[in-house]
Amino acid sequence: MKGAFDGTGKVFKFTAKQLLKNKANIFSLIFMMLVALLSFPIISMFDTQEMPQNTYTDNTDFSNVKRIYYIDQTELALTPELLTHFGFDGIEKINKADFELNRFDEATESGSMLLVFSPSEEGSIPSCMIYFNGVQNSNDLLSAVQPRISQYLYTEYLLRSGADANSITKLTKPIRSNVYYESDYLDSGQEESMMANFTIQYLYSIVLMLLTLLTSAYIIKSVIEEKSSKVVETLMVSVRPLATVAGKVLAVMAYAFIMTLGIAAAFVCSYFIAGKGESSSIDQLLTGFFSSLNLTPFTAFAALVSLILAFFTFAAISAITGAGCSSSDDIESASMSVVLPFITLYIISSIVTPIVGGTFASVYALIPFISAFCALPMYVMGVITLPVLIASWIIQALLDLALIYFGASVYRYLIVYNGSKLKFIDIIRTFKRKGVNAK
Amino acid sequence: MSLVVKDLSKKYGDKPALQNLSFSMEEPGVYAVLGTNGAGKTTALRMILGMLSKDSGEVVWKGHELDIKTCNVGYLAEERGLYPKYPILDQLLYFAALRKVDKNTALKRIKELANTLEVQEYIFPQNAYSSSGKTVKKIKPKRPDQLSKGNQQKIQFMIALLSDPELLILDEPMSGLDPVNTDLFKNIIRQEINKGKYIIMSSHQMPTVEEFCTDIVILDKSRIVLQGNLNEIKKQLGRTRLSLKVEKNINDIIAKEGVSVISEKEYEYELKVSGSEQANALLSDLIFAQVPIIKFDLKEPSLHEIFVSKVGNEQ
Repeated sequence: MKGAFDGTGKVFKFTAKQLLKNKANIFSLIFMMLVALLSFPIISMFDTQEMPQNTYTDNTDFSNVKRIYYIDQTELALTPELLTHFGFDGIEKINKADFELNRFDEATESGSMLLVFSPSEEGSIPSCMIYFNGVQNSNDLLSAVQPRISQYLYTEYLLRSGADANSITKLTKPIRSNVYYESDYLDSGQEESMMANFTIQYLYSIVLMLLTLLTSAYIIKSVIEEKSSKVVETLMVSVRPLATVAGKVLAVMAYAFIMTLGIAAAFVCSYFIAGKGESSSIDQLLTGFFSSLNLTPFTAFAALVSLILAFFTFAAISAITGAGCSSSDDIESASMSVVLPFITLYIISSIVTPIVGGTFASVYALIPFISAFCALPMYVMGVITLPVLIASWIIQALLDLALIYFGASVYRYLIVYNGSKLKFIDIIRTFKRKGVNAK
Repeated sequence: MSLVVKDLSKKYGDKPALQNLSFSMEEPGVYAVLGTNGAGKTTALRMILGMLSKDSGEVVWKGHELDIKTCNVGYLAEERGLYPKYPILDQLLYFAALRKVDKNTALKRIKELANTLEVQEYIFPQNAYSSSGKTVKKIKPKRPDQLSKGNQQKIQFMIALLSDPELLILDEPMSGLDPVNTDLFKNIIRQEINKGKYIIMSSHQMPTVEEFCTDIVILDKSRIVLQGNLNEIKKQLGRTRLSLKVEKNINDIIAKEGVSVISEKEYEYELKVSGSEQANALLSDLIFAQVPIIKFDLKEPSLHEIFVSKVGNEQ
């Protein structure tokens, strides 16, 4: 192995330079960046659904309520005028001293509602208790009123704390709030958690799929390039097959990452060009999406490491397939040899990953090839621990090294091969029979 | 012993491609690997370079297994190729970098070789200027797919020479070249010989091989049919070729001496004699018959003749 990677950097640099100088590649990148750049402005044109602004008016049905009383025990000095934001006119302030809560039913007429604003514990927002006297559908009314009261108290609290209007606008964006029965609440929590897991698993797989499928043809083409142009013999007296194959794989991977970063940057620019960041349905969607990911700096790092290792696995498979070809006519069929195993592994992972648990989950996350898809989502979902994730990385890194070594061996053995594409099984048979090495 | 090739053998399936090739080069010079088409020459060269796995045998360069790490080797492959769409200079610099030649040295060497091989206009094109000195047309460097085959071959030869290799392996270096370009290649080979390089050459152009090579091996159907120092081989075979030019028909004298005629044209004969005794007997007969002799040249056989005699007999 010693010195077998000598020259990898030079092959990488030359291949990457030629990929980036290629006019068709430059055009593709510019085109995709333009599409990304225009995406948010175009979506905005059709996005007329604005989020409700920070007002307390709503169309809550107060038809069953005849009177609303409130007791203010806070230091906020709440006024009936402020409470008219609820869209109900008959609001009356009563003093705590004149009123006994346990006699609320007797003291008020049926159809009354009482809001008791209590002082906060030190440093927190005041609370509100709501009492109903003979109000029909009080649960529905409670669900409708509760978030608005919360928001109202929060705003008043911020105002009294000296926050300016701009800060308050940012801090009091509409809060989605629901009232649940206990059993419903537990179901809902599981549902949200499952949704987040679903997002992580599929987003990660989709990014991996995009990178793999978009680059497999590039890698195969790059590996075949020397054979089809008959420059391979000249190259092989200057650099070893292992360095050649590794350099090419890494160059195409780097090119794919540059493209991905370029497109992502164009999306970010597009988002700000379209004036997002204000309240809009897209903004809410994106905020919800990213908050559901629960992304921390470490999970982002873990995702990047997993993605690079998994991407390398399939890039190396592409290189092996390319090494079994001698002409660029074989690129299409060779690409299929990468796509099919990828899709198969993806389907297996999609089915099995959500249902495994316990010790088996840890073993499952370490299975070569499968772990490329499942280890990261399982870690983020809390199914496997960090040591298991790191173990899966180590196994995958060794697998990647073995695959690239195998690819280089095939490349070396077939340097002067000039025929139709070899099937994967033929490549393995050849390798077994000859026991060639990559040096 | 600088280069030792020992017992190289290779089979493709059950068919032998090369059987027990052995030779060595003690000193710098040119070693020719000759043979008919499909005799195993290219297989031998690829095995020497480690591109093809060996069924048996070894190749040792200055005491170590020959490898890109142990030997600075330049190779002009039989299957010529360049990256068709990449700029030529990029490719030359790439191959130089792979051989650990720094960029400045590589550029200097590229300019020298481009000048010698007359390809500088494709690598370093001069812009067209008007009389006022303004650039009229900016000329882009050429890509290999815009060059003729001969010029592509020159670029490949440049790649082989870029690292100033100790060992140069040339597989059919002059095939497909016109006489002018053949002379350019020959000049460079001569320069490399004078620099004390080890050269292994395969060629079908026997006069060229004869011009440069000190030692040869002739392969036929994967086996060695003749091997050794060219001068010694010729000496062993003796002076059997007689060029004779006279002023009248001497067919009866030739027939009397039992000499075989290779060719005859207007009293100019190419004859094959058994040795100097038979040639001297023929000369005596001609003098006795008072035949005016313009040319009497008893020569060793040419490499072409040796090759044809060895391989022709085998076939």
